[in-house]
Amino acid sequence: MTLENVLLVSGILFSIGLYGALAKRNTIVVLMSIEIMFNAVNVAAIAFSRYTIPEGLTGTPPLTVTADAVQRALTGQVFAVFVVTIAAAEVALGLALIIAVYRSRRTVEITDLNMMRG
Amino acid sequence: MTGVEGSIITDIAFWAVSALAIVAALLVVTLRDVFKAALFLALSFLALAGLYVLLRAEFLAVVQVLIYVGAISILIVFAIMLVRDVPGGSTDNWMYGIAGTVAALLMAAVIFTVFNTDFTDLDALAASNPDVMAGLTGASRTVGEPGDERIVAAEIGAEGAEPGVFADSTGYIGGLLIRDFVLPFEAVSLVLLAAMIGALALIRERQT
Repeated sequence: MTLENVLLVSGILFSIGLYGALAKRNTIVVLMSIEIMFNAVNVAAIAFSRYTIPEGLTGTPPLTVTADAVQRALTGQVFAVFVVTIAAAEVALGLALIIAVYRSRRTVEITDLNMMRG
Repeated sequence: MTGVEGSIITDIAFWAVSALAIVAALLVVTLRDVFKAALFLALSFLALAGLYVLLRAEFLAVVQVLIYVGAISILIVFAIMLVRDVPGGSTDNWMYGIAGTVAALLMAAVIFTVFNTDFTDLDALAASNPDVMAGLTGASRTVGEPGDERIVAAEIGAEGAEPGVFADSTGYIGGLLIRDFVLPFEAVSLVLLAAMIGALALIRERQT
């Protein structure tokens, strides 16, 4: 279990999500694919937080280890917290949009939603 | 860094949860039944919670289960039920060829970059520096003059000893959120409020 392996998993998940977001007709499945991409990004952020040296701890020995520098190792996890929050807001808005569109047009297919085409 | 980490057990657990997450994600984008796809999405989220535990992000693992598995998946299932009578299920649009090519190219680029980059290695630094190791997983206390403080290794539970950041990540994440990241933290609360009001406004029945 190394940083490279975790990033590999993250890259594969992101590609799967990208394929689903581009190739699917159903808007709900597109939304699910976007959630998969959010998760892939979270995995990468947490992996970097766990395996790479935070700013302030790099440099030549003898190293002065401060509490602040060590705590910066958790920055990636804080980023993941923000991503989760934004993802929750995004999914609530996305589903509200889908239901609003379904109410007026009786469809959730992306290919039918072309009323903005000139 | 300590204990069973780096052993064959964590490797097996890592590949198991990773394979589960990837297979479930693949099923999400290939199944025709939208409802089953949503259930496999929840399974993928759950597997990633296990991955977070292996990456020493216990707080994020709990958040993942509570918010992704508990809230977002259920919300998606509800939305699917509300629009259930849509025929056709989940099919590909005309772009699937381009989408597959783009996704495959991206995956190849990511894999190539990941295995050709020299990342810094926190574990190696921790192994060579007992103070870093103590600050990360053990316990440490602060020494030195104000303005020139540093931390040194201490006995766990000793007087004035702080737990390592990965040993008590929840507390340190809370501290970072209200200190270093207080501005994004407040901004994100506004985003949540705006999203909530927006969602309510979007699905409100028009009174005419």
